[in-house]
Amino acid sequence: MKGNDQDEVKAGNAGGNVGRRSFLKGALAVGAVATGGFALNMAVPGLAEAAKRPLPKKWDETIDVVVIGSGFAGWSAAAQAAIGGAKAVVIEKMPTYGGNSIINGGVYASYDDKFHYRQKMGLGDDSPELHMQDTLKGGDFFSIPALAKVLAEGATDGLNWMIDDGGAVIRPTVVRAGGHSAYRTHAAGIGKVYVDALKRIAEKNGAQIRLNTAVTWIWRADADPKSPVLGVEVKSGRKISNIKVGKGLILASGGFSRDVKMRGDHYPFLSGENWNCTNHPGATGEMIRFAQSVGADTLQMNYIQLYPYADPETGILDTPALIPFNGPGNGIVYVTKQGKRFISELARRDHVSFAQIGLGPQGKPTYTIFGDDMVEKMGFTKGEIEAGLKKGRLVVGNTIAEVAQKAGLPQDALVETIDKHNKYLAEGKDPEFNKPITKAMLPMTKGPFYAVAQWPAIHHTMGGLRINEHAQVIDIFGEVIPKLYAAGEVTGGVHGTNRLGSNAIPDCVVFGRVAGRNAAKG
Amino acid sequence: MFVMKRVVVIAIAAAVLFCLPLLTAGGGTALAAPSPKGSCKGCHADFASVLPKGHPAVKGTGLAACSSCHAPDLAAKKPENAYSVRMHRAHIPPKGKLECTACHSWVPGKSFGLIGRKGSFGKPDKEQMELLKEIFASWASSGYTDSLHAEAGIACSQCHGKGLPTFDDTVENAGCLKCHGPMEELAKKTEPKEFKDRNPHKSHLGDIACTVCHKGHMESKVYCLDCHKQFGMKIQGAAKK
Amino acid sequence: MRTMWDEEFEVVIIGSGFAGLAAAIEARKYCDKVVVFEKMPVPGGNSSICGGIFSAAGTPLQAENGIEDSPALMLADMLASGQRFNYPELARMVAERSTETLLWTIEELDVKYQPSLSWVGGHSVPRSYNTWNASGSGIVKPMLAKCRELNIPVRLKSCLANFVDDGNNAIEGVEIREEYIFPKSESGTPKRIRATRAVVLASGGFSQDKEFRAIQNPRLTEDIESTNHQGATAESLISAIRAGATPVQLSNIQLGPWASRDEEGFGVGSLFSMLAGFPYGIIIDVSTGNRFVNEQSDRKLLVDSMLNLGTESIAIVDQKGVAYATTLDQCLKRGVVRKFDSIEELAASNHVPLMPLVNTIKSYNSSIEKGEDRFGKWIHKGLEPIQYPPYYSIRLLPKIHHCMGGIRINTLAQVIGIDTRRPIGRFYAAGEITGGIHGASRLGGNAVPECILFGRIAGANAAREPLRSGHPLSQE
Ligand SMILES: Cc1cc2nc3c(=O)[nH]c(=O)nc-3n(C[C@H](O)[C@H](O)[C@H](O)COP(=O)(O)OP(=O)(O)OC[C@H]3O[C@@H](n4cnc5c(N)ncnc54)[C@H](O)[C@@H]3O)c2cc1C
Ligand SMILES: Cc1cc2nc3c(=O)[nH]c(=O)nc-3n(C[C@H](O)[C@H](O)[C@H](O)COP(=O)(O)OP(=O)(O)OC[C@H]3O[C@@H](n4cnc5c(N)ncnc54)[C@H](O)[C@@H]3O)c2cc1C
Repeated sequence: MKGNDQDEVKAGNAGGNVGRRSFLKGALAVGAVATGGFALNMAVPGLAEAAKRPLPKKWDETIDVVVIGSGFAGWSAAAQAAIGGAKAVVIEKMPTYGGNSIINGGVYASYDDKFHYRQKMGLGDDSPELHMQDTLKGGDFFSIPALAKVLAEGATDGLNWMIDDGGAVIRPTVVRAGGHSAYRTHAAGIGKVYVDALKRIAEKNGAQIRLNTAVTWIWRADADPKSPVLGVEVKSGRKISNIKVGKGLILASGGFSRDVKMRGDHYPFLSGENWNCTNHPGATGEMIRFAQSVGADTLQMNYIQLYPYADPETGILDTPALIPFNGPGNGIVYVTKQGKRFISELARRDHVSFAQIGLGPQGKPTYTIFGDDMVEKMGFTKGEIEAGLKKGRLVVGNTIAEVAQKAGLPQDALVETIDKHNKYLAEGKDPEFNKPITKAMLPMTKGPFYAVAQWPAIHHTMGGLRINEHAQVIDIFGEVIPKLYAAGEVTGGVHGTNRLGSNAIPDCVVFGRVAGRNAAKG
Repeated sequence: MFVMKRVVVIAIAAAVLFCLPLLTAGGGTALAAPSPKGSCKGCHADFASVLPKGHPAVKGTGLAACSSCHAPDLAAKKPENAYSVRMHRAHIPPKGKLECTACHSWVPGKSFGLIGRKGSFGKPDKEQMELLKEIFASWASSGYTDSLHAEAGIACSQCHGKGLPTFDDTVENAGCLKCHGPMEELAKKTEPKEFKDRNPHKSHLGDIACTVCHKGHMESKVYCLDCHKQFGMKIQGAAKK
Repeated sequence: MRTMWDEEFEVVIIGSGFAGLAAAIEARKYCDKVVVFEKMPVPGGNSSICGGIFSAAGTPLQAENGIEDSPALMLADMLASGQRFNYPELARMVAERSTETLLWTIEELDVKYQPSLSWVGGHSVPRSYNTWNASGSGIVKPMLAKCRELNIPVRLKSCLANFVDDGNNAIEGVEIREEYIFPKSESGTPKRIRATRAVVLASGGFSQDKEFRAIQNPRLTEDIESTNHQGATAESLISAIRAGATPVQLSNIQLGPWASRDEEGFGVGSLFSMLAGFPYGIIIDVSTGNRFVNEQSDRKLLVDSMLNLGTESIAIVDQKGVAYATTLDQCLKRGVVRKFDSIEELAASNHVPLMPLVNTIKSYNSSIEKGEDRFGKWIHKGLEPIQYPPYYSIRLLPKIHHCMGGIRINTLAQVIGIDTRRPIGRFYAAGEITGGIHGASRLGGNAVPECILFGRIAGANAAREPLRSGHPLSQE
């Protein structure tokens, strides 16, 4: 034996790593002998934390299906797992349930619903196929088509399930939103309607929730494709415990819009604290990093969406901030501070956002102008409008000039813009921005009219964990990680570069259900 | 620090158990030295002066004497609260300087009772004892929700429903609403005149736990403000004293 | 018991392109035992087949030609085409040190460049040098010669299979398959190579990895051609991620809008379009005879508009514009570029409707006169109307060209760990394997300075890591 002991110890460790790594199936699997016996969390070098953390000696409890996150995806998964006969527990780090889902705007894209509102209102045709195509196109074809297909095909069943089994109440209308080529966006006022419906179904079937409980690690013996996820470490208050997963671990922990550092890691433009953000404070990405640390692959993490219509002051996406999104199919108009249109109102979110950013800081904010007769058709109630007025988020006037004056816009310019737009609607053609004109778009001829201010805020992370159609998480060699599932905003590749508005809820609900069903099978 | 102190206390206690050294002190005021185990006279030479007005005469001066009437029901794990509150607040920091073991018998991980009485409130280990001390200290003086309750004469068990709170004990809404409820009434009280939907007791987040905002042993915080920074709501127990 | 390590070097470098060789040359300044492993039977990777365009701000040639430029302007161009996905701190380094890097190739390696500058799409000013032979081999060969001079072995057919760590968040060596035969993953014999100072990963992009690139961008199906060398595959990237490296922006994969439909890969046509067809000619939608984009846009914008068009497009240039081409003879010989005496002939041969084409050219010419183009092409004094026969056309086909995404490094070229977000010990990376310097779209001629600059930084820092002690080669 030559050399000092210390170095030999190091070399021995390294050898162990080589051995374990080498039985991974990779592009370059090598036939070296595996030196088992090390129950390390992760058989890779470089991961200090992983390598240093041995598996827990004992488990504090075992649960069939552990679901991380209590949003749409988490509750859908828990409900479906419970229905499948598994004991399902939702783990939520925040003191309240619902994540981004419960503060969400409640718009849900689905080609149909049990009441057939689109057909009843004579708003044209739609199909899962068309919904899928719009989704692909809206994301510049970066979406994995197989995943977009699952979303589009499952959307209606998911919606009806929440209505029938969960008691969700949707409003009697459908709208056409930016990037969608059909009237397929359903409204419920707020995402809470669906969250509570899903929670009801889940709890009715025996699922439980633990609040104030953060998942702090995922346990896996090594990264061999046959090696399942074993459990999670959770922290509740000061207590740290380990839960063994019986049948499946479902990651439904949402996006990372609030994770300033992670944003900067993947999209430097959106780094820093200066951006407004629509998300709840818990929208951070640690679960994605933990999953990566045990071998999960990620997709398209650099696609982060701005919501173009948030409250310019706070970045909050409140009810008034939903009007510019719901309204394009009903004839609303976006204008700059100068009272001029700047883009087709049916443009995608990223296009609208960057058109606004392109106006420069002195262009903040822009406005949406709409008429009273559009309110209910867009899926809002008179009460919501009144509340918006009271809060000062909306201004109202009997004439366009009055609205302009109250909003601080140049009156003549705005009147001219709206007149022109009315003319375009009548002629069925928008020569300025090529907006496709439909019959459901109402001209603004009779007041009262309203204006609402808007500006982009960070909203949605399209990237995340790579999954297949069965909501199984894929590792970086392209293999399924046994017992690990993911659904909702934590996943990547469903929406490509840009998520179409109202596509997130069906994404979460549909894949949540898929994950729950599959996990329950064990 | 803590460990050292305890060693001292135990050493003294072993030597002077029920032997009364001649220490004198005014009733109820802070004392110069920790008292011997289970004995009151050690500090309160004039024991009668410590008793509230109209208190019946006490036979004996030890803890046992008190607990013969103020009998904490150890089996039901529900000590006599008003008495318990008063005793604790008077004797632990900042008012007093007593260690828990001045009055309590404790075998780490096995039992925790009152000196001179049978039975046990629970089985705190060393770690839990640390936590209990910390929480009692907070309860006695912090300015947080716990101490607001202490000031009103409310002991742990009245919220936690048992003698010895354990790790991560929380208080369910029903517990709070027993005294503060019903929720609708609360909501009426906090409904803003202008923006009726900005009501913390009628959150759009649904039926949320009271403890989301009203923290027991740390600073309370209006959760709404995390997102709605401009709401400017106030909450009791927000700052440390 | 088995032997832990088969061989030991101070600095181990993976990949023999610009980045790897620059790292090796630089590392050798600070330590003795440096090695380069290359999986292919020939060295040079993409670097030796590249067009040899080198963009830099504030160069001697710019001064000579009275072109005002600055690193700040170059950075602004990079961020604009990168759609602000670029890590500004890294992009800034490329801009600020581009000229220094250019001069290094001249002074240290004696690289020869052509005497005129090119103006490549997306750059605000002409700032691109061209190697004397219009190929990256004009730089790679001198680099290889330098390696020989410095006694740096470049071991071919040696494929990185895995990284080996020291159990303490640092890389200690690699597993190499010797006598590896690309692309057979099981070929060769595994050997463990210890790096007593550090490992530098410089294994290039993955444009030829059909499976991996389609995972990142499903539209890049396997039938889409690539300009890259066959070895541009993802296995080393996967190994790096396995070893804890942070993957970033992998879906930012660039297609080259200038490639030709009439030859494989990058060929000779790409440079023709890049240097002559786009800057001094026009791009036409074959089905309509119309222009549809500013030909001097960055690559992403060009490709996106070509793909959105959904039809074929060609570039046209006349006798004046063709003077800027460096590969005309080869293009004509191989039938990649075709020459016509009149627009009529060009239109007929390319199946472009004649009248619209004539009108398009007319209106383009008048915009040159007016000094304003409706597609925003910058009209400068070197730009002339298209009116001097003969005319040349090239049939365009976007091909997968460059991976802007890769693993995250910091300004010291250290690899950043996914979980710790801190550098992984003794692990460096440079060149196309790294991600985020160019953002959504790399500007032409910016890869060469980037690869060489960060290669040098990685090499120098790797060689200055403290030496690991011990002689673990022979272990009982
Ligand atoms: C203001 C707003 C409005 C929106 N409006 C719409 C809309 O109208 N229509 C639409 O389709 N989409 C909308 N979206 C997008 C959509 O709401 C989200 O994409 C969706 O809610 C995500 O659901 P989820 O279940 O994946 O995650 P979430 O609902 O965010 O739930 C994830 C949960 O996991 C928890 N969690 C995270 N990490 C951990 C951990 N380590 N341990 C334990 N728990 C953890 C989080 O605290 C969170 O509660 C909106 C988004 C926002 C922010
Ligand atoms: C046709 C073409 C033309 C181009 N023209 C220009 C231009 O004119 N100007 C410009 O700036 N940029 C140009 N580029 C881009 C530029 O050439 C590349 O980005 C650059 O060469 C990358 O250099 P590199 O050192 O990072 O990688 P490479 O030069 O590709 O070298 C990486 C090497 O690592 C080897 N390798 C990979 N995996 C392993 C492994 N597992 N084990 C061992 N070895 C491995 C590869 O075989 C390869 O030889 C062009 C690219 C192409 C393809």
